[in-house]
Amino acid sequence: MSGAAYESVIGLEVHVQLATRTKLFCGCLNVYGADANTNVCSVCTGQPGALPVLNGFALELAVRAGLALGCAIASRTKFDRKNYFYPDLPKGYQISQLERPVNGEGSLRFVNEAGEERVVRIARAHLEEDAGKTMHPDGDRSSLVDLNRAGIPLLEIVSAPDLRTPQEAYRYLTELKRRLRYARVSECDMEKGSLRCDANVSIRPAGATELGTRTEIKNLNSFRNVERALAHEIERQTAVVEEGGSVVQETRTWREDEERTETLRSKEEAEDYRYFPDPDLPEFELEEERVDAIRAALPEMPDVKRARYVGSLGIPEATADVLTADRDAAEWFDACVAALPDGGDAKGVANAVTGVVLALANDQGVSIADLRLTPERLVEVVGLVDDGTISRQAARKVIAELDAGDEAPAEVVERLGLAQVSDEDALGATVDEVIAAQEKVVEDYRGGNENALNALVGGVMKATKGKANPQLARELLIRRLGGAGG
Amino acid sequence: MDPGSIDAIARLARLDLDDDAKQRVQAELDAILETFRTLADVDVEGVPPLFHVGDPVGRPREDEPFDGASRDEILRNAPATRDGCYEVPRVLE
Repeated sequence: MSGAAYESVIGLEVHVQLATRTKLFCGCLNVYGADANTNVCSVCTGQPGALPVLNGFALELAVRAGLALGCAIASRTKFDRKNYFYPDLPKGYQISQLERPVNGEGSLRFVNEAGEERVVRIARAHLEEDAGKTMHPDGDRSSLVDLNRAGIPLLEIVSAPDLRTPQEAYRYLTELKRRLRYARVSECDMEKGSLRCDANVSIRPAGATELGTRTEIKNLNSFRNVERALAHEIERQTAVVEEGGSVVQETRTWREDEERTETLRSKEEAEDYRYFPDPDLPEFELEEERVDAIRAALPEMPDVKRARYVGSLGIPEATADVLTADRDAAEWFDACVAALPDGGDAKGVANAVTGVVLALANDQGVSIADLRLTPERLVEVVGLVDDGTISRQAARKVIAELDAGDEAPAEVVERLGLAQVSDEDALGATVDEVIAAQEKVVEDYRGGNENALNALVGGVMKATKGKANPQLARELLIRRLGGAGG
Repeated sequence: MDPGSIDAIARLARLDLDDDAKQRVQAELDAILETFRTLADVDVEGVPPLFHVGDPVGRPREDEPFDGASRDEILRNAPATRDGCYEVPRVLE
């Protein structure tokens, strides 16, 4: 295939469930995994005469998301009915927003697979209610409907068709999720359905400006599957065009087990939703002062944090990426930096957070914010490493002990006898013993075998039960044996 | 309104209309559309759109849970239920 002959054009529609306590238009709980139809009422099951009342916090979260995505926030917003029939939609319409969405145009900035900065436009991000869940037991003539999910607040985030490769789609989603999690808008957990994604894709001759006929892909249950389904669909469309055919506008579904997309419904069956303003809901105002207050309460966004870590703290980019992937980790690290003495070792602390503390939290299955270990204590431990009191190895043990109890770092070091022997005289005697005992290795080293030195350092560590300062042991050995490699 | 549009609207509303009903509905819809054409002729240049005649601006509620209905209460009106769910004709092949 002539790879550069076509370019693909991709747009994504992402639905996220907002992290409210209750549903969008009623006080039923917004929770995952409850028994079927136990979080329902007359409103979310569409009983005659029941009226919706907007959840103010859902509106606030929608604004928060919009601000995190640089969207223009509407001064007035309203709701419309989207009409269609399906058993999981009890009213026969979904309350959504067509004309005056909460959030208008915005943009998302990320680095693509080629290392280039990309800015993808957001067309809009509007509020709507989720539908219920329909289950289709195998071999059954019935479907079963659970309306717990019906009425849960969703934000639909529609990108412009600005993405060009499946890899870019993946990176866009990753950055979108990170921002929404920073803003505490949604958990964005695809496995629990709190983030869902549909993809629109078309191809056109490279360099063309007109859009080709697009297909929409549904049933994408992970970011990797979005990427894979797009790659397959682009391949399929390219084959159709190269064989002289034309792409048909349709909705396709991703068959993960077979690694292909297949037709779900064609354009002729495409819905006509007959939107109209919902007469049950008035318009809502988003006063400038309120929007400003929401903006002021937003945390520093991950890209800004990352630039600060790399630029003013001198932290390596890869470490900064790990620290900023999750807001809790980044804020925990920020607390460490705040506790650092002037000229303290920010890089050492960053390495300890990414190398030890995050693993500790991960092992326990908790957020870093829920550890007993505090940022202040970690800073003390890094200080003990830096001044040679303990080794990096011992620091791991100390950190784990600190998380298990209420001791101070110095107490743990004392109790476990982890202090390094950094005293030249004390260590010198042991070094001499090791040199005397390992003639053969000493010979090798003098003969030019660099590795032999490591074996001797190991001997010193063994003789001191790991307490020797390995750096000092190495120096003393070299000094006594007369220079590196003889 | 042409017969094709009547068929499309009937399909969207899941209505199975016989020919007599279609003719009757067509006449009714024509009259409704005529009325709206009259409204559409009114000059509203510079008049802001009015979506509601009641409170122009809504007051959202607090994000506080309330006691909804019990499952039994809600499912009582359903023609068929199973395993705590509404049971409906299969909608997926």
